[in-house]
Amino acid sequence: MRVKWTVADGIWNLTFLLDPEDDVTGTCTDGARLELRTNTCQIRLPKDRTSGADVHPDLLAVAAWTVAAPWTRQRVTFDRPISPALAEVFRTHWNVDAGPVGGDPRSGTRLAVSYSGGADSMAVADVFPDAPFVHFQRIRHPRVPNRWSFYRSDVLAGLAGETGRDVAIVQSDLELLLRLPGPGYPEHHAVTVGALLLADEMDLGGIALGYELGSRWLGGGRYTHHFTPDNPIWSGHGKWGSLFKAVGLPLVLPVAGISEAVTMRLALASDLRDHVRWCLRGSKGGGACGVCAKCVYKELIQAAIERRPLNTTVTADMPIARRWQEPPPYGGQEMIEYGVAHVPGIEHTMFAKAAAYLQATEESTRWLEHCYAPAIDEVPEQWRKQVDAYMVDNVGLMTEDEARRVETWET
Amino acid sequence: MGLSLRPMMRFVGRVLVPARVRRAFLSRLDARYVTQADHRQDVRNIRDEFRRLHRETKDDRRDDAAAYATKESAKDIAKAIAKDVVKDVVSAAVKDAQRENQSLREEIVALRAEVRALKQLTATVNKANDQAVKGHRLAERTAEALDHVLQNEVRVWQAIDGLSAQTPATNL
Repeated sequence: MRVKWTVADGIWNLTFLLDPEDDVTGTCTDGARLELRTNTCQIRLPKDRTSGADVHPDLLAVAAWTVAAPWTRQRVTFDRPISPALAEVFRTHWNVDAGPVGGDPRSGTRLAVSYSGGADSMAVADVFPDAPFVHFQRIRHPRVPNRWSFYRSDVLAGLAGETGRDVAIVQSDLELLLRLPGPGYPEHHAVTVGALLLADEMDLGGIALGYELGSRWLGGGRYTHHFTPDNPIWSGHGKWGSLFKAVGLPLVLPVAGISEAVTMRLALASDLRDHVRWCLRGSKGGGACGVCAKCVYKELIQAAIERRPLNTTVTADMPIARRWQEPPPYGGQEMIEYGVAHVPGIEHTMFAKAAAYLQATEESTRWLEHCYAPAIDEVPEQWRKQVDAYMVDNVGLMTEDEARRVETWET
Repeated sequence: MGLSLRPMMRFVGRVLVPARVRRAFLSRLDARYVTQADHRQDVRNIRDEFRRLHRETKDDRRDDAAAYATKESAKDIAKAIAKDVVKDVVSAAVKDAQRENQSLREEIVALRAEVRALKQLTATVNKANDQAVKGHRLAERTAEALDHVLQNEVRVWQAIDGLSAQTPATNL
C-alpha cells in the first residue's frame, strides 16, 4: 500500500495505491468482510483551525491507516517518514512493514472528545466538562452518487455546534470508500481522522471516545459476543491502542466500564441533554425518527432507566422488529436483558419473545448499573483520577460478583 | 210616580173642615204627591229617556256592526297579508332554490371539468412516477456500475504499478 496526502486550504486529500499483494476486499478488525469502492477521500478541517501542511507525519500515517488497513497485506509506504516507534508498532502488532522511517515521535497534552452527539459520547463529555469536541460529519464523495440522502449528518453536526462547547467539526467522505457492506468507517478508528489531523494544532495528547462496556469488554456489536480483555479494536494494548499511543494520541475510553443504561442516564442528566441524538435519520426540528433499529434499541434502554412502558409505534410484525422474534444472541444483548427486565408491560411489546427467551430479572441485570473497575485502570494515567472520581461519585463500582458477570460474559 | 188627589177631592164634597186645617192638610198632601204639571214633566222626561236609550241602543248596534265589520275586515286584511307574505316567502324560496340549483349545476360542471383534469393529471403523474421509478432504478444501476468502474480503476493502477516495478526504466 502506498499512501499520498495533498493539502490545500485546510482540505486534506488522501490517495492510496494498492501494491501487487493488496486487494480490494478485506476484513475490518471487528471481523466484518469489506469491499473497497475507490481509493480517494478528503478530510476538511474547520477553516479557523487549519495548520496548513504542518501535521506530524505519524498522525498522517495513522489517519491514512484507518482507511487503508483492510486492503493492506504486507507493507505500507507513506509519503513522508514515520517515527521508528510507530514503524515498530506496525511491525509487532500488525505484521506490516511500514516506512520510510525517520524523524521523531510526537506528543501532546490536552484531551479532546470524539463527540458524535449520541448518549455515550455525551456521557464522556459529562466526565470531561472542559474538553474540546471533535465531531465527524459525513459529506458526499465527488466520485460516488449519493444514494444515502436520508443520512442527516448535517443535523448531527448542527446539534454538536449548539452544545456551547469548543467544537471542531471535521467533514469527510471517507465512509464512501466502502462499497460493502455499505457506507461506513473502513475501520472504527476512522472516526478519529479529524482529531489526528488537528492533534498538533490543538495540542492533543489523547482522544476520548464513547465506547462503553459492551463495545470494549463484552465483544458487542459486530464483534465476538464474549468477554474480550484483549479487544484488538479498543483495548489500550491492542493493535489499534498501541498505534494511537505511538503517535501521542492514546485512545481514552472514560465510559468503557459502564453500560449503555448508565451512559444514557448520565447523558439525560447532563446539561447537554437537549442536544442528544442517537438517530441519523431524524430532522433538525423533528427529533429522532423513532422507527429505525437504533431508535428502537435506544428506546428500550431509555424506557428501562425511566421505569416506564415502551413508547413506540413499532410492533412485532414489522420488519424492523424481526430480529427480536428470534432466539438470542442479539447485538448488545446485555442491554436487551436490562431492558426486558426493567420495562413494565414488556410482554405486550415487540420484545415479548426476547423477554421470554432471556428470562432476565432486575436482580440478574443489576451489574449493568455499576462500573467495571479495570476499565478505569485502562485510562491513561493523566486522566484516570478524573474518571475514577466521576465513576465513584456518579455510578459506583461493581462488586467482585458483578465484575465476574463481565468476565464470564458469553452470549 | 205620584198621583194627584186634588181632582178626587172635588167629588168628595164639601165637608166642614176649618180652612186652616184644610190648607194644612192639603199642603201636607201636596208635599207627598206630585203635581199634574210635574207629572207631565215626568212623563216627558221618561219619554225623552226612553228615546235616548233607544237611540243609544241603535247607536250601540250600529257600533257593534261597525266593530264586527272592522274585525272581519282586519281578519281579511290579515289573511290577505298572510297570503301575500306566504306568497312572497314562497316565491323567494323558489327563487333561492332556483339560484342554488343553478349554482349546483355550475358546480357539477366545474367538478366534472376538475375530475377530467385530475384524471389527466393522475395519468401524467403515474407516467412521471413510472419514469421516476425507472430513472431511480437506472441511477442505482449506474451507481453500482460506477462502483465497479471505480474499483477496476484501483485494480488497473495496481496492475500498472506492478508492471512498471518489474520493467526496467525506459528512456522515451
